[in-house]
Amino acid sequence: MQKILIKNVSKEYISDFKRKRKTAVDNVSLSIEKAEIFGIIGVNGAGKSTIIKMIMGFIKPHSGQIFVSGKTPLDPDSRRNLGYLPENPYFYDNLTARELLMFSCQASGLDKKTSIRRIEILLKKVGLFAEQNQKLRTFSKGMTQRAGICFALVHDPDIIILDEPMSGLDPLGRKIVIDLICDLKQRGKTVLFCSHILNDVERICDRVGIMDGGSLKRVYTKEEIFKSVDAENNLEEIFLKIIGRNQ
Amino acid sequence: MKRQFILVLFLFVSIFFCFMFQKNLIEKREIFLKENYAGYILPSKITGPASLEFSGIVADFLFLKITTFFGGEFNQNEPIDNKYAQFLYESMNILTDLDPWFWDAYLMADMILTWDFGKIDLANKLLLKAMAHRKEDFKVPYYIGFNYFYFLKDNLNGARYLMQAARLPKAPGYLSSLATRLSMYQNQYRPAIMFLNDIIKSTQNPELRKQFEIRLKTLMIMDRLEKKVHEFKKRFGTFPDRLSDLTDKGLVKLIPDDPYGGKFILLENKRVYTTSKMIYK
Amino acid sequence: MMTRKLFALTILTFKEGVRDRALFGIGLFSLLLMAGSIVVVSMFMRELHKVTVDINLSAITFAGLLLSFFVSINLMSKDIDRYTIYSVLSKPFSRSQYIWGKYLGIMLLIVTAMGILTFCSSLAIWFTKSQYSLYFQGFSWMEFYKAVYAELLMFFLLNALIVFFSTITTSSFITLLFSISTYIAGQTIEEVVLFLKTKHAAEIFMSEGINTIIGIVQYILPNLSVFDLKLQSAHAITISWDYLAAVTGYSIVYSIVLLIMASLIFNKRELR
Repeated sequence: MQKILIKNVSKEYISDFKRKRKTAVDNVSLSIEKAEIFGIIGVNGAGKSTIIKMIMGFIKPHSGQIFVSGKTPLDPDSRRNLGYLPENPYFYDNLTARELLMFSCQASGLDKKTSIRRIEILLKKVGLFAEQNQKLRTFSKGMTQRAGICFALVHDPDIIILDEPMSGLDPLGRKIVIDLICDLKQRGKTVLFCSHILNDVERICDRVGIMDGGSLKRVYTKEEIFKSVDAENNLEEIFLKIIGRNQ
Repeated sequence: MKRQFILVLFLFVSIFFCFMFQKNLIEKREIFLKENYAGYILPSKITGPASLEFSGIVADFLFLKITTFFGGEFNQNEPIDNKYAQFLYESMNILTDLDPWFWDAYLMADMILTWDFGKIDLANKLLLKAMAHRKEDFKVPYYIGFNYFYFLKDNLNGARYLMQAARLPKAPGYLSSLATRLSMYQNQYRPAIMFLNDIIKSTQNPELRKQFEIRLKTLMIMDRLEKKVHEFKKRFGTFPDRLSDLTDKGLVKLIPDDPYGGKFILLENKRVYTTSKMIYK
Repeated sequence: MMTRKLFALTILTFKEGVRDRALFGIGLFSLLLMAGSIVVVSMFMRELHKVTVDINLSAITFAGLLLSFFVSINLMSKDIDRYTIYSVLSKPFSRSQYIWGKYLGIMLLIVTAMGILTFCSSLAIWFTKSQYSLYFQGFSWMEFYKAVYAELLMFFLLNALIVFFSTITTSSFITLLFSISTYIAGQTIEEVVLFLKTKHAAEIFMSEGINTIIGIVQYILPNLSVFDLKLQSAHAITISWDYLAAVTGYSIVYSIVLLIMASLIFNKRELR
């Protein structure tokens, strides 16, 4: 059964004053299976974040359908087993990391004992355990990013959606996140993420979708990438060729 | 380091000038305020809505402002201009639109309007407004009644209001018999002494209490002197021509000084009064 | 499960609000006002209880207003403005649950703040009362707490308004503007209507149209002056339980209507 199913989804934005229409996502269809890691790559404004926001139910598609665990995003239950990391996450200033994670657990229905245990494990894993009682206001960008990753993972969801998980992270932080994602895959979780950092995508994804101008140009499997990737033809080359800006 | 020092020096010089200006400004401002006295208050059609749900505290603030203004006028020890009577009436009227139960305001207006300005009609108008809101309060008709008796010499209305006061809850027992006593002592200072005593007993503000006490003291002196005048009549068959006759005949050791700075005199109708009219000379 | 979820959001909102630095300023200001009441009172003649109650109730109300206009709006509008809302909505909350959870959190904050302030002002009143017991005979604790309760009802409604406005506007500044104007209009509408009903006004406004408009506005706008029992409390005028029940009902029903409308509008809103 598909964990995430996107059927012919389109989205137009209408600018507030000029009433001008702009197509952000154009007829995208995609299905992501259980225990799969799917990466979306594309330039800025390609529609990656728009797709993710539609999956989360923050915005609604103009046409087409979306199902998460068989439920539409309008149903809050579709997010029961889901973890999400927003792009440039920004959390409540006056809460501590620990309180934020506690909220994540409680809102997903975890009991207190399990929550405390999982919070401790995760905070130690991303290296925020010492700062757990600091207010989020005092966090640097990288620390906030790591706290956001914990927020998405702490309730042990089956589906994890990460919007630019690597941004703002130092090489060590990046390695921690990659390890975390690989670990998730081993435990049979489904991961959808988008990124500009092609190197990471290449390393961990089962499948990669390339987006440009709102549409999904092509989806590669890992094998296909391996096959075409050689000395002079890496994922970067493929990407640039696909979006037709290879000069 | 040197730059820092110059900056700090400059700061102190500026603070000094700031202080000088401020001092100068306070003096200027005093003159300004004196010339442009606060003889207006916005009408309650504006102050009412503008004070939103804070009309109570706005009324308190206005009350303080008005009382300090009149307090300042009285402390200058000179007779206050009659134009302030209308101002006092109007501002207290606005104030009691904001808080129609505000007894302090009614009472303050009553005391000043009657004793200092002699505007009994204005005072009674405000007291009638108080009566419409403080229906259970015996003090309101009591004060109206007193004004009728003492200032307007209107026994009929006075008795009517006093009887009304006597019927209200918590009214002291003596009120019902007071009407008769008041009309009996109509041409004497006794009722006023009684009345002032009542007010002093329930006034907290020491400044005001002092004012009332001076008035009470003066009234008591005049009351005593009047009694001696009648004693003189009883003893010698005729009224004295002047107060000094009392000392001459040994009835009084000496005529006391008027606390208001005036002189006690004997009027044509053989009543004792003072040249200060109980207003600071 | 649902209540637990809502409770988590309520507590989250409360914690975020209670640590807002504006809170210290607001608290300090009203405490100073209460302490000041002890001093100011001596300048009055005899109705010291009235002045004390006036100042203390005003301090509580003013603190509540600042709290609503600055902290509540921050909690609602800024949440949407600055996308902190994503972290809440990525959890299994529906949009209506978000609205209710947030509202309850804000109310918990207001109730706590007013509880603390009421306790402090009770101390201030108790102290003044013991100093000037002769001039406190017309004072009633019961009526004082009734006025505080009515004020609390006003804040129930006002914050429902703030939640409502933050769902229809896109910036916290506009929410602030709308909320303040509605508050002022709500406090004065009764007086405007009363004025229009007088004969004097009838001569000025001949037009039937204006009267109809005012009539409609009167029913749409919340009449906030019904919750103002400060004067009555200051003069210890007994407020009937009937009246309190009626304003309680009014506040609750009006708030529920606002919150349902807010949920409906918010359901349609795109959070880009």
